[in-house]
Amino acid sequence: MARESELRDSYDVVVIGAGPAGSCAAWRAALEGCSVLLLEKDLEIGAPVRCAEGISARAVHAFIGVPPPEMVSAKISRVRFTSPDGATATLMHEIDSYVLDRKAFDKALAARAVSAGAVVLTGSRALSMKQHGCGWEVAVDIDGARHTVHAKGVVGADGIESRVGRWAGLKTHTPLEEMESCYQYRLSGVEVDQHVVEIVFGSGIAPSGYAWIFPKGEDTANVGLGIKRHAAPVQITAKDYLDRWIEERFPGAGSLGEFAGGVPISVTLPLISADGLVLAGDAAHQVNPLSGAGISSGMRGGWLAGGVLAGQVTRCDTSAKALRRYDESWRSLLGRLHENHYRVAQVIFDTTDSQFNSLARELASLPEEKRTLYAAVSRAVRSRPSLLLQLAGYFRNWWSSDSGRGYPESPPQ
Amino acid sequence: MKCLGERCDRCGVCTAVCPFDAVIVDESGVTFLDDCTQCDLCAQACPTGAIVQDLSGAA
Repeated sequence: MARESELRDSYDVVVIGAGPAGSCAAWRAALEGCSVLLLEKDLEIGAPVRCAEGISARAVHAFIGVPPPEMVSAKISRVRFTSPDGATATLMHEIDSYVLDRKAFDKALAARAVSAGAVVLTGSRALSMKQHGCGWEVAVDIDGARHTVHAKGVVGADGIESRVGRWAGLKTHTPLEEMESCYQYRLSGVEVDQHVVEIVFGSGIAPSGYAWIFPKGEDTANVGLGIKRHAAPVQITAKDYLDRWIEERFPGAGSLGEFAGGVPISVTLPLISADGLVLAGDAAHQVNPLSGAGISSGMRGGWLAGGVLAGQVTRCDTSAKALRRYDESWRSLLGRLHENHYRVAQVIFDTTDSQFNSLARELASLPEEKRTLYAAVSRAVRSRPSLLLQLAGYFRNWWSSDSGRGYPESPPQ
Repeated sequence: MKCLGERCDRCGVCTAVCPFDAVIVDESGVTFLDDCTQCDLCAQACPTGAIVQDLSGAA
């Protein structure tokens, strides 16, 4: 139940969307002393889960410390690549990561924002915005009743379908050629190594994308894939591809849930700020365009957005010019790295099945202790010099793009 | 365009790829606004094939 009785007429900062990016923005802005309203359109924060739920342990620890056991479905130490013809290569590098329970994790982040002083309302959908003074009037549907709140600054953290940015005149739509159309099942009755994340390539499995298996504890896993429309016959959907592959790979598995979704495989939007407004998370296209991972980059985007916006609210200058600092800070934090990753991702999408097959086979032929990034890279370079130089970066960065930048210095209290 | 409700998961991919801000997804499902140009991008991006051309002539 949304508690609209708590609603005031005006806030320093209104955050639209209570995913990881929005909650971190609200949390940071509240810590900086702003009055903050955090709006979530769904009735429950964290649901529905549209995510494979993988994240580096470092990112979780930086924001909330060591997570309670019920928030972690599986602890991941290895990543395994599977080529189109089924050859596998498990890299020896430890990748200290979690598969989260997003329903619990997202609530924990929102709870941090509340502890810092933010007001959170669920079942509350932003309907429109118009400029008012140097801020915004935000119209909100709360449990079916229309309210208007004034904000000195707005954070648009409303996901891939972001309309908040469009209301402020930003071009937020994702070109079709950059949209990875995804489908995922939570499967039970699957035998998977609960410490390994598996990534599967193949034009017949997930054209211009990949399939993933993220363990979720006991005999369950998040099993999904993403495809690019241009690479697949128009009548075959992402769900069709997934159904076909699961029948082959996990016959007899049961579905505990399923969802559709999309991941913008693109660089960050050219402009993620406007007068009195900043965008964060998927709304700003802050997902890592190589791995498709978006939780930790969204959290860092939100944390940065909340900090910059709060600072400008305090200085009574939320002009587009002043908020451009957010664009610049984001670009040096992760935006430029994502531009590099995007270029590598284009190479991956151009890699043929036979190239993936031979690379996986070469890697698998090595003793495990020699199955390093270096080995992957050197073999790749030999077979296709131009490809492999870039693949090197691909393997290195697959999970390790988490350099630790952009996190709080210690978990904020 | 029209949305076949039973296939729709309300994931918002249609809204995300619409260059005209003409597709809205909410609790009641998918709504196509007058700005829709029938460009078909939403139908192509939909992960479940829930969106099809509306041959009755309306947007």
